Amino acid sequence: MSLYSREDERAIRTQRRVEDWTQSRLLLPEQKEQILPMLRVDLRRTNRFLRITLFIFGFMVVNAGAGLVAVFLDFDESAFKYLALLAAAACLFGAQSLVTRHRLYHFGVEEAIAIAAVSFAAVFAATLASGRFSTVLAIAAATAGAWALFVRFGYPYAAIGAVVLAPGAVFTFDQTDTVRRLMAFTLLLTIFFLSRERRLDHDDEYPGDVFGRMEAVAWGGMYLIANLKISEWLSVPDGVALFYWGTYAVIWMLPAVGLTIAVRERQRALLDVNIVLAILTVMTNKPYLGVEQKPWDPILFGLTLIGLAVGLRRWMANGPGGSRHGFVGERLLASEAERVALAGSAAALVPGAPTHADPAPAIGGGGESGGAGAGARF
Amino acid sequence: MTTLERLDEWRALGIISELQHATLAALVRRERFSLFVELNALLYIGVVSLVGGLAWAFRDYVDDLGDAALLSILVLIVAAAFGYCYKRAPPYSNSETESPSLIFDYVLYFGCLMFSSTLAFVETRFGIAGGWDTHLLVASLVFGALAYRFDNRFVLSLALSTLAGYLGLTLSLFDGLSADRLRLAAFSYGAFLLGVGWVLHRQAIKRHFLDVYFQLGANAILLAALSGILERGVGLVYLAALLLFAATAIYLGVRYRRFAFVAYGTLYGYAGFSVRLLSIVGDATAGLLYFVVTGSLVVIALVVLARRFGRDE
Repeated sequence: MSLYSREDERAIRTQRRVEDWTQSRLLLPEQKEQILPMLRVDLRRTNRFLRITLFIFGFMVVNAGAGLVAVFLDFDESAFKYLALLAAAACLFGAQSLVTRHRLYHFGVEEAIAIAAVSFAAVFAATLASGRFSTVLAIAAATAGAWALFVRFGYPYAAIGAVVLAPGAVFTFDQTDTVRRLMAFTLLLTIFFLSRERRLDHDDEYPGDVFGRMEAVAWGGMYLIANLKISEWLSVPDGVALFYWGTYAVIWMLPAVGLTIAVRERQRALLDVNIVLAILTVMTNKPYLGVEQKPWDPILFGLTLIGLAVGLRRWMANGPGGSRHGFVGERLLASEAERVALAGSAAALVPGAPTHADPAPAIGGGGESGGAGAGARF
Repeated sequence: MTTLERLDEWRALGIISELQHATLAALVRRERFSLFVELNALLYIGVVSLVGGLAWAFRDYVDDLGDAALLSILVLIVAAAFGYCYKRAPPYSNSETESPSLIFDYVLYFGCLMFSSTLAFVETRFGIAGGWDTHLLVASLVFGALAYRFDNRFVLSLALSTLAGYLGLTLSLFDGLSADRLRLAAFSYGAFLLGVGWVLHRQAIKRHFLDVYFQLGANAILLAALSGILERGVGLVYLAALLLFAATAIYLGVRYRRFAFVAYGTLYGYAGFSVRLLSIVGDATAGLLYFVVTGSLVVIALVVLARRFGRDE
């Protein structure tokens, strides 16, 4: 089904690992030079910046082209959907041709055309029933299209997009919030188990790595739907007391269970998602209970996180061989340090000292721009 | 073929040693599993939350505690944080230095945020600095010095964003401020960052910081030029400047294999040129035709560039 062989996908991932191991000084550069030719694949690739730029321009050209055809042919509304269908088919064919003829692999341009195919298919599905735009069909088509892209082109983000889009259709149903949330939760739980099963078949090797991310995203989606305090924008809760307190129990259970699974199976994506979920649970605990938040809440929260990080690091370092069951606090790979360094560089875009969100009269004047402590309130 | 099978193959061929095989296989099987990134994330969120909570608490209790007591507490916290850093830090070096401990960088970050809060408190309660611009400038200089002394990218980012705030704030004090003045500040800011980054790199002082300077500086300059292209009277000057900067970014990006700058130059340059042209054309069909033709040309050029220079990834 896929345009790329599993062997090629795995070789590309192993190449990345070899680069990382060399930068981490686990391999010598001479060893890397010996290994990389053994992992060579007959595919054209590029770096991430050119890939993103090619994607942006490719997507723009395809959509402008479709718009131009529509303007020239001066369609009436009923013919519009057929243009969308034609455009979807043409884009899919075009993207496949670029891969089969020119051997492009995640090159940006063919990705843009493939994604445009899905968006055109969604437009076609939405306008299939005459006289109205069907959001359910649009989301369903987009979900199916995203999944098809993953199967055919192997894009991990398409698989994740399918997981994110799938429950979206449920929220268009003319049902109460409780029913919709329960349906969406069940759907995501099903996706979680299916992804998990597929991941366990392959472990960390492709496509198991993608299924691992799908599993984590589905888990995070279940939490988002369960936590009524952070998903009011998705659907306004209808105030069923039993459901409300049921979700309160669930938002504590999900991170606890998720962390247990992630630690036991050493699944990075699931671990990271559940750390975020645990933090969200603590942050939304008081709003859930209807208790007023106090200034010492973030102080205690911050101190707890710092204490937890330091305590964990020491506990692991004091274990036999500087680890606990293989878990270590220090970095093992150069890529881990790069991720932290990237976060450090990105911190330039984050304002300095955050202030309490409640509107309060300013003691004095305040700054307008970002930067440390430049808020209007002290 | 799985990665473990490949490792076995490399060992059998004598490319890697038995010890390397054991080490790498343990990583692949996740028998060794690092929580380094997760611990860093917990510390960062913890510090930001702690500082936010302290600022909130001080604001709420400022009348109960009194200015002197509050200022004393703030100064003590800052002194304790910076004192810890000076005590634990290795001697200064121009090259990249490892943090002495996991928490070290975050104590420094915490100290910087609290230092900024202290300045903000002094300004709001006593107004001795004569305005927020002084506060931001002082904070920026202190953060910059600390970032170099302790080799901390988070604090350097804080210094540069605070400096941006200072420049914006200073100019906003002028009555009847025109957007051109703000753009001039952004150009100056960008040029300053590029210049400082380049000079320090040439002097071999913390060379690994270069990327932070160049990324911020290039974006500041390109964004400033882009924002002015529809200005009456001077729009064409801004457009010419934007195209010149974009071309320079692309050229240097290709030359030094820093493809982020190729992307910036292409996107900013194209956006600026298109906005200006389409503001004159105004016809939807011509606009669509323009996007198809010029977009395709850009795609072709980028594909050629990617095949000639863009490394595989």
